Amino acid sequence: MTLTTAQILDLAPDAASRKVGQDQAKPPKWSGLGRSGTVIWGEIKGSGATPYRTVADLAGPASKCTCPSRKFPCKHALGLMLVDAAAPLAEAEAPDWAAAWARGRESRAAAAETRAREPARPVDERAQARRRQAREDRVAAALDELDLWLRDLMRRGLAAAKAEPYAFWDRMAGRLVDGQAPGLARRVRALPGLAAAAPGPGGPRPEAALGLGLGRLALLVRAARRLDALGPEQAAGVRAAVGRPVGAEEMAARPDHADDWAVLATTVEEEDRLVARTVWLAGRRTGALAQVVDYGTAASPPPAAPAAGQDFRGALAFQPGDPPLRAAFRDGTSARSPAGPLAGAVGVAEALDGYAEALARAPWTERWPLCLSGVRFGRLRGTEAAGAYGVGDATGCLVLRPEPRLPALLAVAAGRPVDLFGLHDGIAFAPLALVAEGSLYALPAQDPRPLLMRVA
Amino acid sequence: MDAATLAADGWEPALAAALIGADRAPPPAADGFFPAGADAAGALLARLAAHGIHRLAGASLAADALDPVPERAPEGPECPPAAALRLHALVTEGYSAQSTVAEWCDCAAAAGVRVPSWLLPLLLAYARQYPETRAGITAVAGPELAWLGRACGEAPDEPSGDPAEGSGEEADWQAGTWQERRAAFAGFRGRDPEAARAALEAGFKREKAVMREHFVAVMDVGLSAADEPFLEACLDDRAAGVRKAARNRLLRLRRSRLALRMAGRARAALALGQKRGPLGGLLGGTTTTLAVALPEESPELARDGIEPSAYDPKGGRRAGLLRDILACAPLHAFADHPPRLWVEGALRSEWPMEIVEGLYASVRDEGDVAWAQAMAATLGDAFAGRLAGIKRTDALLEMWARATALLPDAEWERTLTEMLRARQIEAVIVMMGKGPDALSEPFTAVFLDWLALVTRGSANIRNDLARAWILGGLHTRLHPGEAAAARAAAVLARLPEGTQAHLSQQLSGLAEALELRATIRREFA
Repeated sequence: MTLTTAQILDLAPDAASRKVGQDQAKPPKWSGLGRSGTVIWGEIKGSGATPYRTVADLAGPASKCTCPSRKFPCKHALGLMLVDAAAPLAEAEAPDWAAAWARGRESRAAAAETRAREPARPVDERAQARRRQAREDRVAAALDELDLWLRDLMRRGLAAAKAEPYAFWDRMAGRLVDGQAPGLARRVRALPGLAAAAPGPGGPRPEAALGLGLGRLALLVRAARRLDALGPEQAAGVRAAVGRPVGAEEMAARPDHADDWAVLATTVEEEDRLVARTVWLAGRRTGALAQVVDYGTAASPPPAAPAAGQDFRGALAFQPGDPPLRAAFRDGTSARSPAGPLAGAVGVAEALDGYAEALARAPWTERWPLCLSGVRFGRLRGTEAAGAYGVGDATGCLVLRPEPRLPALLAVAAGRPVDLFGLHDGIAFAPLALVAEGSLYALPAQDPRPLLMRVA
Repeated sequence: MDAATLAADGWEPALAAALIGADRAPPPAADGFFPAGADAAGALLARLAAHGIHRLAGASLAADALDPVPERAPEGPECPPAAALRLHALVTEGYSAQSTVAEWCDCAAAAGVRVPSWLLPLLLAYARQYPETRAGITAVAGPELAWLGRACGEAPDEPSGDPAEGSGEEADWQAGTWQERRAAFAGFRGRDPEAARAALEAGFKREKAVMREHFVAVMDVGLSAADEPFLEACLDDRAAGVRKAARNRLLRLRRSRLALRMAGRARAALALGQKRGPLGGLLGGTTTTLAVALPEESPELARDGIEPSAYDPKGGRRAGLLRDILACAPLHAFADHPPRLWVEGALRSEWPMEIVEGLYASVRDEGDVAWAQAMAATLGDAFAGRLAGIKRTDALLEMWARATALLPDAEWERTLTEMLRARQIEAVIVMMGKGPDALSEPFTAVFLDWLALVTRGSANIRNDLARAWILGGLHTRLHPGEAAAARAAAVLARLPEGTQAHLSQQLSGLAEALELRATIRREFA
């Protein structure tokens, strides 16, 4: 198992670590380098009295270092993995400390497995029902309050609302958090940003964006207050959008969806002090799309996941929802993707039909993944988006969301038809990955520079 | 109302109503599509939501709304992946990697490979940020970057400041921005120097001082003796910049009146003579002496650009004047005696460094090899103590190193090789700080062997080597290759215990840089 340089750099907790990690990736700085299977180790001189001992398991990927850094993985672990990526280390007998770490990992994994097999403790069903009822009451109260607040906005008009300070929106969002509806709170907090955004070519006018956001919110509130009228999957989707987490037991009961899941892109967003990492997958056999979101903090990064350019051969479990999109990894192995066209890619018109269908089933959907096949980049003309970048084929075209990394996409496409994966919000399309001549190029998850990395 | 009419044109009115608010613009009565019983605000909210979703679901652009960017023709095979990753790392490093990026581009051009498309945007930004690397980058990705610039809707980069390029035959040098006028005039000069000068002379007085200075500077193109009267007249210009520009052009014409005036002043100041030793030269033979008459400040001197400097470090104002006069004097002024005698006389005179410095500047500007050889040899003899009565100083050594650096590259290497063999450590350390930019492979090997020996020698020598701080600048000058990288790594590995940190840092920097340069070449193989 080897990771590519880009995949290793994506493990870095921040930009500074990425940079200094590359500085550590020079073999002369290391001593006692070696590998045994997927475990690699080495010693590096730092500012401490004794060299730091760094060991990493590429299969995880996981790492351990004796340096005092609180970042994880530290720059030494990144450097060690980068050294191995540049030129695979030679097989050797593991020193005591490396072998001990690997043994510890194995025993911990075994212990976790045994724990998982133990029978669960009996559940106090009455207490559970009481808790559920209390929660639903709180959510219902929050929904009523939000509905009233939205009507009040409508009475005064959006022009007046645009002039409100951030505290106005934040206060309502805070009330929703108290009412255990964090999904709604997030949408409310996003509204002032929509209203204040500068209009650019291809983007909506600020008041239109605010109107659309409020409309989606109103539809979600309305659906959440009429859960009884919805089917079970649809109702679960609404609950998830409102912000109710899906329990582990509920997930355990979901069926497996086995496929060769191609990892198309990874995005990382920072929310408060949390890091939300999203992995986008497409099933090679079914063409289904899936989104796996994991959270982490600076001290404990999100769990390891296959990186763009790899195939996850195994099963995903989809969370309840209609249309299904959010999923979690189940058992499976990751391997390098074969070269070829984008899994599940279709023409523009067909992709837009898919988007419309998703909206019909869940009108509050903010962004929906699209896989486009054989599209060319170009400039739009004759519309309100004139001058903006777009992509299109013979069946139609889409406006591209303005972003600094567009030149990189243009450069790799070189004017030829390419396959494109990205997110569509009904107004503009934001590409995340591109397939040109059978090779997958992904936008690096945490790098704002105009750069595409060839990952497969 | 059915869904079709709703989607047709409902969004804009709904949005307009929402902007104003239900209080001031009550929505129409319930029409069956929206739930009855809601208040005005609720109805407006429902309309906004429904029309918004219909708009999002139905929004699409026809295929002909897109102007596809033109296809880019492939220019050649892509470079190997390892080389591409190397370039990525270099470009990411930024400022400090400029020379290495340029070197990478040279290697890529030699291998006949192109930059992969995913690196183009970064490279475009790099070439703009660091213009020194632009020529190299253009050689390996020029058409691709031009294509990308056009595809991104940017204006093409302005042409480089090559005066011969000009902007076409018909460019009017009398109109436009100063860059355009300068380039147009350079083109005019290139086509017809006489006519260009005549045209410039006609309207010269009316130009602004900055523009006059630019035009005089551009007269380098096609400079000839015929330009002399005009340039001589410019020495009386009101603007100091114009006077300076004209003076520099005139000094390039070594037979101009200005140059001859300087030659006359130099000869008036210096007179070579012979001094016999005791007993009529039987003891000590004869020695060359130089009688020096320091010049006086005068308006004529000031007109020719020789003015005393308030910051002359030593020697005094008038010695500084002499140095500047000698620097401007053409070497033919000293043709009546061999160069060696002049240098020897200068070293024995009362102002040795000022006079040698002035002669050095003149030799450097004229590029006279015979003078350079004589100067280097004489200074070398003086430093070795083979010339009686001359003190060995650091300034003398420094001057010797500078004079040696004027020799042709092969000769410089030959001289240095002899010095390396003779273990003239003190001199070599100073000499290596100057000299050719690209050293040959055999010389690199000899030097690194010498370095290995010296670094294992006494602590004092290591200290001198570390303090001279020359190793940092050498990594770009030494000949790159596997052998050099291996030699440098061996020097570092065999460094004795307890070596000063700043020497081992310099050595590891040198070894690392040579290794990098060798790796870059290996990755193209």
